[in-house]
Amino acid sequence: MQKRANYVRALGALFALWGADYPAAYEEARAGAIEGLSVPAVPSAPVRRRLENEVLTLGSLAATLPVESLYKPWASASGGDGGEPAQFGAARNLLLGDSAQHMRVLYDGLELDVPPAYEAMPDHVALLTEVACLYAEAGNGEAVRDLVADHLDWLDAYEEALAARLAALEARPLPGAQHHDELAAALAHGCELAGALTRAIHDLSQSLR
Amino acid sequence: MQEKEALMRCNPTRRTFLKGTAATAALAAVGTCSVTAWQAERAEAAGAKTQGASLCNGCSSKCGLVATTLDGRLWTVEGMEAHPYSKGTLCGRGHGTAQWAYSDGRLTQPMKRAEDGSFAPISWDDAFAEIGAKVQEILAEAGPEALAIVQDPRPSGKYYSKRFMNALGSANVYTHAAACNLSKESGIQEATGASNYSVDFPNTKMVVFIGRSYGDGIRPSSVKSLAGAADKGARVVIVDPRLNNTGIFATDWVPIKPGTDIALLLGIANVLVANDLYDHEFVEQFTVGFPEFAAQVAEYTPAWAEGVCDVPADTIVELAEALAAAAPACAIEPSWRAAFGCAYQNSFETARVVCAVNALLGCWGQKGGALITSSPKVGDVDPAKFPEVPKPTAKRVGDAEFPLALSGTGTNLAVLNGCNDGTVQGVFFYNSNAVQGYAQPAKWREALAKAKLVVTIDVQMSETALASDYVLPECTVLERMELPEFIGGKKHYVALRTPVIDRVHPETKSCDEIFVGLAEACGVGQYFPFTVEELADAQLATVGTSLDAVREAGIVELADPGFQFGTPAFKTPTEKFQFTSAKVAEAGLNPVIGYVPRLVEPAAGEFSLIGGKQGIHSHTMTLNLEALNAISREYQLERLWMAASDAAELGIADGDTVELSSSEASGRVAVKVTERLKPGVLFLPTHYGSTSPYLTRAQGFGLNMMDFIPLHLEPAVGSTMSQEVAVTVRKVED
Ligand code: SF4
Repeated sequence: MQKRANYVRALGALFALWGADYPAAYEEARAGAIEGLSVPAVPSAPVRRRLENEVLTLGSLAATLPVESLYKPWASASGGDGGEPAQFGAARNLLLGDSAQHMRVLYDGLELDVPPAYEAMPDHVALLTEVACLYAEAGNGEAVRDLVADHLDWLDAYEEALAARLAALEARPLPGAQHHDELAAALAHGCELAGALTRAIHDLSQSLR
Repeated sequence: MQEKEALMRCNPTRRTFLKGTAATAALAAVGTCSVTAWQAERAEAAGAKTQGASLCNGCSSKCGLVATTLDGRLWTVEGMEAHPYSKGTLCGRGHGTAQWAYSDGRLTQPMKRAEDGSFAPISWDDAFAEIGAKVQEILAEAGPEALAIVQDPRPSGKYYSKRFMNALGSANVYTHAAACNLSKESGIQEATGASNYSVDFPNTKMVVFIGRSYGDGIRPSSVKSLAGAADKGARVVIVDPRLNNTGIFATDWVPIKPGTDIALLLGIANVLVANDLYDHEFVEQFTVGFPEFAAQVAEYTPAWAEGVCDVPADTIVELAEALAAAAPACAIEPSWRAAFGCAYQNSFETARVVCAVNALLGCWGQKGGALITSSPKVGDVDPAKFPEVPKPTAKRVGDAEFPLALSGTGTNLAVLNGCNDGTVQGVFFYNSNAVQGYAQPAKWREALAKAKLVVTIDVQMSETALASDYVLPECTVLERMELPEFIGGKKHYVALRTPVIDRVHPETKSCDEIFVGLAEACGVGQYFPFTVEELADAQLATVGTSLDAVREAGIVELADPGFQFGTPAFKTPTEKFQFTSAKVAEAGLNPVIGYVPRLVEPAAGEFSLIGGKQGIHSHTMTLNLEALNAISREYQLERLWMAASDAAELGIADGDTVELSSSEASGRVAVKVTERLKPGVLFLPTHYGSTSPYLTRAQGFGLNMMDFIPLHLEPAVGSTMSQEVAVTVRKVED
């Protein structure tokens, strides 16, 4: 379980912003790869830069973030105490939804602090996979299973969102050819990462059955 | 030991994101708190519920709202009962914009444009420092007159943007008005001395709307007032080429040729004068220039008007007689953007004619008529704490060429012209998507590319942001505090926008924080040694209340201004209602209220193109919001309206795709075939056609009307003439 959880965490970490340090993060993922699972290729510096600046940054050109809240209804039906439901509870594409709230509860219980850069997205995949790994290190398979089932079940939707972004980009190319090509490569690489992570998560949950 | 040390201990080789000590016991505990368990538990528990009052920003009405939060998250919003604009109700757009704080389409940090046109994040410190250096360079080379700001007024924005520009020594402060209500307000100002008025709906017997639609450009209180008047049997006449969504309250629809409302109104005036149906007492006691007006209006017979506006002469006579019978409990409604806010070469004059008809009816200030009310006046605040900014010496760019533009707004298109001729070199935009909405986008882009510095402050990457060197992210409406909003009318109020939720993105700032940062970076920080709270409290003290009181209640009613029915004081230079104006004469136009034709006449085979708002959107601002965009798509609201008879003639069926073309642009869009439109006219909603790739839901959906409009400004006023265009349409075969 531990090795598999480590690999999931290492792949999740590739969705964080590393700047010039990114090759080390890929190295760590490649070193911990599980046999039979795909291993993402290390992208060129310009492609990785586009991925970080223009895909994985909120408010950027092709922003498509691996944040659970964006892919799930924002809030469950009841407002607590039998009260009114949230006005836009069923909406998606909103940050700080139920998944983020629930993760905050877990972090509090585990006495972990969310860093300021993740304030608006405590359910970012880099953090979710790290928690899964911590549970695994503590030998708590049930908690890993719950976390995977509750919080890591949306990666295929994320992969689809990246693919849709790529299709939209190809339909309306950017004026600068180099910019366009690098961003297209970055989105394709994002799809590859999301696919690899989906498979690694599937593999981890199979191993916990 | 229950706890391990820092996570780094778990695996010293890796970098972690979560900080702190991981509680081992908790990590290892059997039975974690699953989402389902948490949701179930939460449904039972009493969460931390709070309520806070604030102001909506879904449009410029700034209705009062009450927000309920649960455990810090926005849960519901509702209209504030005591607020005169919401009266307990928020419109759909207001509800949709409530989710803005959490939207995935927001700007979350400052951005800087690179050489290749792409944008990359930049820190606030660097952005301020670089902008400050550029401003200094412009000041040194071209002086303060080369700096300008364009803003769509909001409570803090209108104060801080003006103070910032004036502190730099520039008078170049403009609002959005040249693409909104500039002509109408300037025209009303020339005739009455006030820039606007309202209809006394509770007592009216007859009201005529010229193009404006309360059912489309919604403000809850306006809709309620109109509904109330309709219930009481008032005659409600809609003059519009399109049967708009106010139709449900209307008794009459008068389809009219676009841009010719002025002829209909002059025809009505002609009947009132020629048939001696006008209010002699009012005209004799309270007006100047009537003899000249009466002489001129003699030409504008109903038959002449029919020839221009295509409304039957009999209808014109009947409307005039009905108004005279209802007078003084009747009025021509003042409108807003609609048909003569900024649409045609004759928009300013149309506004004056509207006022003239009301004058003939003697309805100014009367029960059921046209009311000019007052607004609360903020007194002087302590200059030691809020230092006075010296008045800029140079006049505002554009004022000489457009002397009839209302002084409080100016014409922002002077900035576009100024960038082209080099007069303006540094431009700031606050809460304004000028590029997409104020004139043809290609012309704006071309002009702004010539400026040395363009800075946009917004919550999202609008088309204007994309044409900027720096984009500074403001936090969204429910996350920020602003200066008090003073509300005039029969009663006076003050309301406040206060934060009801914590900032979602810590790297966004409020309007005051951004302008103070800019001022310090540009070397004029000495004019901003106060917080927004301190200024708000000082302003509120001058009207007899306090920040705490307004914060607590959301809205406070101020001292009774003593409104009474009766002829108002006309604050014109002559202190009378002006059928003739010296200022208009000085501007080189006919001083006597009269006829001005529209500029562009569609030729055979061409159509007039009119635009309009839809109740769920606020210009281009709300297009990318998930909930509102979904409604647009679900109901195909982007479609071009075409009259059924025109469609039949061109072989176009409902839902067909057509190519719309003008001298400026072509674009494809689906057609809605309808009986609710006058033949020869096409209607395009004015929200759509976003080109910003950052606004993923909005981009490429529908057409932007401004792409089709030639860049030309209304003489002496400077409005954008948003409907002076002739277009053709052809079916696109697959
Ligand atoms: S009219 Fe609607 S959108 Fe505008 S401020 Fe009021 S509630 Fe908000």
